[in-house]
Amino acid sequence: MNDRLLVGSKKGLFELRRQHGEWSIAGTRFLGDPISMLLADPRDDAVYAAEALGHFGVKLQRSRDGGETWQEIPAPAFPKSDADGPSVSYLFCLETGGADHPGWLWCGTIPGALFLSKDYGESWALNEPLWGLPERKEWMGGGFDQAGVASICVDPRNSGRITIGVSTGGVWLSDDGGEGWQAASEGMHAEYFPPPRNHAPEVQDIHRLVQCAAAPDTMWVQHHNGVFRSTDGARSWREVTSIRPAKFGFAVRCIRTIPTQRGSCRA
Amino acid sequence: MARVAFTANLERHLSCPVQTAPGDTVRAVLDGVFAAQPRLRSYILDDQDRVRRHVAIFINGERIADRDRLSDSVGDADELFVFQALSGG
Repeated sequence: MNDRLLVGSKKGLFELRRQHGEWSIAGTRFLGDPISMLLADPRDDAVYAAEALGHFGVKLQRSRDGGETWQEIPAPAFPKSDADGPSVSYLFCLETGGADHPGWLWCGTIPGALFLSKDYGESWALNEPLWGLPERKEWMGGGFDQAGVASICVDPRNSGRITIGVSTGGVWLSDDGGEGWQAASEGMHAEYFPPPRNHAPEVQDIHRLVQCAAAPDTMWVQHHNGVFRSTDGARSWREVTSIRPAKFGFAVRCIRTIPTQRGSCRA
Repeated sequence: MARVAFTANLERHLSCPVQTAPGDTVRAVLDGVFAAQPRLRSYILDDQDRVRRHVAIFINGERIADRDRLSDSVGDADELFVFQALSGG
C-alpha cells in the first residue's frame, strides 16, 4: 500500500503522507497556483504538474525526484500564425505515451487540441491532423468558453491507437499514432441538445474517458448526462442506466483488478 | 534606454528585476528583456506574442493601445510597467 499521495488542487500541490493509518499534509508546492493536471510517469518516475496561472498563462513543471524539486519546462503552445491565431489557455489532460516510447507525453488543451512531446516535455508539437479536422470547428465549450481535449487513452496493446474525449466534441479515435482521426461516439446522446442533433459527435460532452488496462476494448465515458460503456474499443457505446443516485459527474475510473471473466470490467 | 518594471507578483515565479532595455517600441523593448530572461516571455505574451488577456502594460502611466503587435512608441526616458490586469471582481 502506498503511503504517499500527491494532490493537485486549485490552491496548489499538496503532498499527503500516511503514518499509523492517518493521512496528513507533509508538504506543499505552488501554493495558491491552480494545478489543472498532475501526472506521475511510472516509466521513469517523473512527475508533471500543469499550472493555470490566472494572469500569466499555462505553465508546466517537472520533478525527477518524486516531487521534492521542480523545474519549469516549456508548456504546449500553438505555432505562430496570425493576429487571430490560437493560444493555449488550459492544460486539460496529460498522459504518458506507450511503454515502447519512453519520454513521450500527450497533452490535451483548451482550445481543443492535442500536443505530443517526444523528449520528456522539453518541446511540444501540435497534432495538426486533429486541429485541421473540419468537424473540429463544430466543437463547443462545455464548462469553459472553448472546447477542450479532456481525456487521452493510449492503448496498452498498441501505443499508436489513441482515443481522446472532447468536452464538447465527442470521442475521437486514431489507429496510426495521430495521423488520422475518426469520430467514435456512436450510441451516445446528449439530453441537453435538441434532436436531431442530439446524437451528433460534436455535442457529446465527454467529462472523462478511460480504458480498462485488463480488457482494453472496454472503455468508459463519464458524459455530461450519464455514463456510457464500449466493449468494442470505442466503436459503439451503450448507456449504463443503473447508476444511482446521480449519473452526473467528472470522474470515472477502471479498477485494475483481474477480470472475473474474460472481458469483464468495473468502473 | 527605457526603464522596465514588473509587478512584484511575478517574482513568485521567476526573477524579473527593474531593468533598462533598448528599443523604440514596446515590442523591441520587451524583446530585449526576454533575450536575457527567455522564460519571462510566456508570462507576459501568449502563443501569438500578443499581450496576455489578463496582463496590462503602461508607458508612463498610460495604457498601451496596441496589445497585439505592441507597436506603441517608447522613448529613452520612458518607463514601462507590466502589471496583472484587474480581472474578475
